[in-house]
Amino acid sequence: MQELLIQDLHVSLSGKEILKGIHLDIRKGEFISLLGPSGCGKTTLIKTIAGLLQPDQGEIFIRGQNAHLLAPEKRGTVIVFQDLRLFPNLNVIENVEFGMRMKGVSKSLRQQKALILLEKVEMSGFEKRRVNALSGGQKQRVALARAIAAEPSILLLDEPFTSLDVNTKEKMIELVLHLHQDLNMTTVMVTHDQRDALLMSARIAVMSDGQILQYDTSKKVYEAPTSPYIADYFGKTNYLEGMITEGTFRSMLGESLVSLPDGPYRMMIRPNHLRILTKPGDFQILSISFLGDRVNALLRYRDQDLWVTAGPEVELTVGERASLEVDFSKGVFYKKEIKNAI
Amino acid sequence: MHHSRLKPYWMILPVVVFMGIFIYSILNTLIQSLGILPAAGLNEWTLSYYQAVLFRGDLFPSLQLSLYFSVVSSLLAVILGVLISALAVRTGFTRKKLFQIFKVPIIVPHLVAALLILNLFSQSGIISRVFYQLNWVQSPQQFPSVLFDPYALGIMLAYLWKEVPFVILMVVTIMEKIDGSIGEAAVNLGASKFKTFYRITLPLCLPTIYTSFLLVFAYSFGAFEIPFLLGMTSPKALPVLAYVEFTHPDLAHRPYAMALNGIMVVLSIMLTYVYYRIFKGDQKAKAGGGYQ
Amino acid sequence: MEAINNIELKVLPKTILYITLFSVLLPLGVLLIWSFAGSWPWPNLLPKTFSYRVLAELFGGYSGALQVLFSSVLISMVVAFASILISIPAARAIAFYDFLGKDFLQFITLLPVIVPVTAFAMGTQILFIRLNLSDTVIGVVIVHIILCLPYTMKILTEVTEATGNKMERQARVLGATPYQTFRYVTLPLLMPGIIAAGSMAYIISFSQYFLTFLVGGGNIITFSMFMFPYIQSGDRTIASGYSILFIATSLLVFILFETLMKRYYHVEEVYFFN
Repeated sequence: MQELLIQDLHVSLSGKEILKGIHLDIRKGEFISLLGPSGCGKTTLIKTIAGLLQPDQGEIFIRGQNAHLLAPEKRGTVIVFQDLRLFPNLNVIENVEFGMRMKGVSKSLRQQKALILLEKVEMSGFEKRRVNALSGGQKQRVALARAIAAEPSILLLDEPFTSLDVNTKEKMIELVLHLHQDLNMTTVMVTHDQRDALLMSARIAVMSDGQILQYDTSKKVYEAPTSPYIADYFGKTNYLEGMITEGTFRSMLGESLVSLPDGPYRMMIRPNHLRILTKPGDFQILSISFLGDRVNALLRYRDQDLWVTAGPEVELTVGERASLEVDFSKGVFYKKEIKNAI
Repeated sequence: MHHSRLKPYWMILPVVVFMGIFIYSILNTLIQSLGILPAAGLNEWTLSYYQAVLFRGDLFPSLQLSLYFSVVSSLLAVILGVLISALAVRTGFTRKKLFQIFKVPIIVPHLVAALLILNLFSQSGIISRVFYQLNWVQSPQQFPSVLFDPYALGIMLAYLWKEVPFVILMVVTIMEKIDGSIGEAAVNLGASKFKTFYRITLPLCLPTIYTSFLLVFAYSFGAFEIPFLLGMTSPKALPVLAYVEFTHPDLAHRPYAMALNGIMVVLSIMLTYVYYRIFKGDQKAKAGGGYQ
Repeated sequence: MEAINNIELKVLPKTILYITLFSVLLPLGVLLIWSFAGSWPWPNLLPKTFSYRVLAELFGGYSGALQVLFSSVLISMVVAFASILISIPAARAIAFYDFLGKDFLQFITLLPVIVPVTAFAMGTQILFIRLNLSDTVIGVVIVHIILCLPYTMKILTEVTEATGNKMERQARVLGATPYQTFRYVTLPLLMPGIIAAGSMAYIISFSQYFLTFLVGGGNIITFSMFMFPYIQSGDRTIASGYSILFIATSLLVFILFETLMKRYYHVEEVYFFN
């Protein structure tokens, strides 16, 4: 049985439709990400899962039970909000204990659990502190502990790393992954950062404008995006123009056998699947960006621009001419629409 | 951007001047209450006027009366105001256009509020007429005398009409803000709506609630119009009594008036001090004092 | 079941809310009816006859009501304007500078709200007599301003602190003179606060009775003072009529002010009293 199953979910806010038919399934213990730009509906989706918003249409099943029958406080879906929302009138341990207290857990038991959790998030010793006196990273840890202490069946994280500086963020990512492994907790993370999504999730749901465009393992979403939009979301990518006739894709970089219907296509190919051959060639190097462990180069021939990622040992100069080699097996083909001229 | 160290002093100067006039007036009042009134030939410092005020038969009841109706009406106003705010926030009523109606009593001056109560609750008022239609009374005299009564009901009703909306407007904004964000988090963590309100929202609104109490109490304690228009002839509320002594043709009565004022001033300032201790102390605790 | 619970919960609160609204509106409605009542004997629920006596008194010219109304509005506008004028620099000083007595000033500024008006009013007499301000308009304006300052200062200080001066620094860096900065950056940013503070100050001044009475003597008559004897006496019709006029005028002033400022300064949201 699926831990969470969503079917054809439609949700509006203030009259405007935000979610336009969401289908999603999550297995127990899985870590998935909802990835997309701001405004695409990711936060609306997790709020609806948690029961804070009512859907217009569609069903949500939590462990097989229709969520409609469960009040928000009984669903076991706990959110760590982007603005954390720690209770200023309670101290750290009181915040962490809150969920258990609401369930009626005895004082000694919930104190015990809270202390263990604070240790897990490396906040031991902070029990009696006022939450307003904590730093951003510390508040985040407490918020995380508080959510986990409430013993959720599904943990929902809303943009957990947005307001953190780079070093704190790295530590938090480690912490979240560690906790997920430790507790085997089903987790849904909302993020706009594709690298975080790729790093942390088993599966990624790429969202745009209230819909899930693709929901697949990280690898598949990165290597076989179902549309150029998704491909672009994961970083600079190339589109090689070409034509497929009788099972062969022909382009300026060569040919390859492809079993797709005839027609004009663009092949999406990631910069790291192109190689520069230093013998003089057709492509002119327009710019070079040194990134420490690799080099990004932009090359052009006629009206085809291509980005290539190369190791730092490759010698390149702007203005040089080179030829390119492409690994067609890594290409993803998108059919081009022929616009009829009138 | 500090071009001159004197700049801020120039900027506050006008306000300082006006507040200076205010302080001077209050000091005047206090000095006169202590017996210094050259115009009446009184030149000795004395506490006798305060003594008289506190122990004279007709003056202590005034103090009692004023304290009674201000405390009761203010407490009621705050309790009702907070309750209604809670309901309004819970049901989303605050977003409706109808909610703006609560702003109207702010525009209505206290003397008109007195008139409103007169129109409604006097023996020939609207409510009495409704009672007649319901066959509960046969003549105006049978309708209970709610105004000009020893329990100051008329006065308190007038203050309530003005003050409940005032408290609502003060409290509702912060309540909504807290309920929306932190309240949502509490519900999400498993708290029922009631528990959320009781344990999280209400405690966080307390500073604002205390402030609203302070404001309505201070006002109803020291205001003239409503007790003058709706109060009994005796005992008079403190401000009314002060006025009567003040306008006495014999200037020697002036210090009595000032002593009455003095008592009001002292009580108000004491209350504010207590409030600041509670409020600021509370704030300090929340802001992150000590870890044990 | 959840669905049913929701409905039940909603009905009771809504009823209470509507009852409260009704309690606010009913007295005003009664006031309105009284304004036009000719003969309204007990126990009728509606007037037996209607009359336009109020309108006659108002526009008839011999009561002087309109002149008093007009001059009161003027006085209160002057008070509001002056209060804002002196509060803006003081608010800036508190928000952006450190100076000796800052906390003290903030405390003192709150006093007129706490300390009873009678103590203040009765204390001004000697000072004003000496300064020849007794029974003058200026004297009345001054004391009204003092009463308004706690509110205008609080509102404007809050708004100033909230907006900060980063916008202004940005403007200066881009080449604006202090005057230009004030006119095109500071003022529009303060506008919501100015409108709120101005409305508050206006209504405090316009509603003021006791202070005006003591300081202005019998000479300066504001509309509140004008109404007072009618409320004391038994003439419900005139008293109610003037009260309605009072409320209507205040509403008009607010709407006018708000529309003007909105249009001129492109302010999005305006809060009346908060």
